[in-house]
Amino acid sequence: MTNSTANKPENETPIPNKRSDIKQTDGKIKSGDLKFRNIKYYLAETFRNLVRNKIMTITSVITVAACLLIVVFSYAIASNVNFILAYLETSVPVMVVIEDELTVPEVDALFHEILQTENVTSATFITPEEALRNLAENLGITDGILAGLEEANPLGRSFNVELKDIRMQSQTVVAIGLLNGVARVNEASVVTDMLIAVNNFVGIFSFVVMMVLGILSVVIITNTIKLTVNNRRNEIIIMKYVGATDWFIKWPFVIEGIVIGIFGAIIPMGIMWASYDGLIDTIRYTDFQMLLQMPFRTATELFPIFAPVVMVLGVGIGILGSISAMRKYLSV
Amino acid sequence: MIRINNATKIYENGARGVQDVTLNIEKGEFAFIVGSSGCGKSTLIKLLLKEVDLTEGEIFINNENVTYFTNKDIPFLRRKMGVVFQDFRLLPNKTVYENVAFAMQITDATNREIRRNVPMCLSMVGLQKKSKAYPNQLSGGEQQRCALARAIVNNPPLLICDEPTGNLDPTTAWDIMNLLNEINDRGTTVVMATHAWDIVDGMKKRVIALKNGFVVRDVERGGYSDDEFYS
Ligand SMILES: Nc1ncnc2c1ncn2[C@@H]1O[C@H](COP(=O)(O)OP(=O)(O)O)[C@@H](O)[C@H]1O
Ligand SMILES: [Mg+2]
Repeated sequence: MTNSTANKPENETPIPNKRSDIKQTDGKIKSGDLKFRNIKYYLAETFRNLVRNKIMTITSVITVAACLLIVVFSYAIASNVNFILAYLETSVPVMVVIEDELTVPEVDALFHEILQTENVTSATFITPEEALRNLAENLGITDGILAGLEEANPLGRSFNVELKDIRMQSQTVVAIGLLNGVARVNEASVVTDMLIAVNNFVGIFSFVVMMVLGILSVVIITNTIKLTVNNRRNEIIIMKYVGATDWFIKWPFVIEGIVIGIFGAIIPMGIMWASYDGLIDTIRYTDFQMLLQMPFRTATELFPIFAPVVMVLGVGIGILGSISAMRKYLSV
Repeated sequence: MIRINNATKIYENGARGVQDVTLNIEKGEFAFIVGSSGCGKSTLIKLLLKEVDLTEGEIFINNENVTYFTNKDIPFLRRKMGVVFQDFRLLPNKTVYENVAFAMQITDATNREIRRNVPMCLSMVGLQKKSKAYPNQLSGGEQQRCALARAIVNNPPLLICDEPTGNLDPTTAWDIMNLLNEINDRGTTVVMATHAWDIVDGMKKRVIALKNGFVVRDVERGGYSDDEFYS
């Protein structure tokens, strides 16, 4: 029997000679796996994983960012369209021109009929004089010319009708046009129709692109994390042997997905923040004169609304990706 | 410490791991599980670690029936047993110190306890001077001593070893055996699967011999092959 003692410890640190010298842990989780010290460990692991798979990490982040950029821009467009429509609802009322022959009681009856029409919030009677003055103001005509026109005012009596929902303008205009005593109804439908069409198109288009990119993001994140899981197969086995819980092993992968999602969200937010005001100015100063008067949302108005949404979406995509990777490739 | 009742493990492919094994290993014992390759030693170890599930029978560890332990319970069972393998299984990108500390980090141990226990265990296995080295900078014997330090750092009542000397030269193997002996002397139950007959013969401990998955011999202070021949 070769009972060599060549490697006896040199006794620099006291050697425990009873098992009770070392404090026994009872092996139960008290505060869950999400303790502060563990979180530090998880983050370090995550960082290592992300750096080790640089290319895949960057690809995942870019895909998520592309998806969320679409979300951000379609949200910005929808928000502006709605903002402009709301403005149009109050500032560009529908003008209902009354037939010249109508008597005062008949005008009064028409007034009530208009008020009872669906989608109408209010109606204001406009005298021919007021109409002329409004027109002159809108056109920026000076008092002199106005004075000359007053005697032979070409404008008749009318109602300015405000609508609840400008998207229903066409239907409302038809309904009012059918009322007795209405000569014609002027509407600003070209602009609104165009805006609504743009909004619908952007909505559908971006929804489709978003879904495609969203699914693509999840797939790419899944593959990124799958790489990490494979790289670390041996480590995971060892961790299991020393008694790591499933979630202790899983958290770094979940956090990896979350971090990819967060960066994927920060990039489109940054792009938006940097380019939004410039884009709006470009739109505002195109040849399309009408846009000059239109109100637009500012970046500061939009940011607080979409930033959390985009962040939640990014993190959600990240978590989906990591869960799918763990389900497929990590059997702990 | 360990009670195994009529344990049978048949793998999915029909291979017989162990068959109708009934064993009782007392607290503080040192037991060898011996037998030729394929006789079921590792299967028995894996059953104790709950790495594989029993086909039939029951296993009690520390008076606890672990037969039906699920994924949720298994980590906590493993924290109460140290485990050492032939191929060391150290984390390659962690230092010796970090490898040992890691086994504590996954438990509820505080940083203070880690700073106290890890150097204690490293010095016990004679690795205190190599605590900053990485596994690939160590000899096989040093790696195994690191694995041993990791196995005992949570002070488990049970130490399970599957061919811990299999990759080591005879002198180094005996260093490990001396450490195991020392750990056993401190009250830790040690179960070691091996086919190293010289070590078994030299240690004069309990020997449980398997053949085709059956226990064919179980003697106190025995040798590897008292009368039967095992290749
Ligand atoms: N994961 C497995 N799947 C199928 N059969 C296995 C598996 N592990 C071991 N076996 C079979 O079980 C028997 C016992 O193997 P094992 O316990 O590894 O023996 P030993 O460790 O004594 O060499 C062998 O016939 C082996 O082929
Ligand atoms: Mg084996």
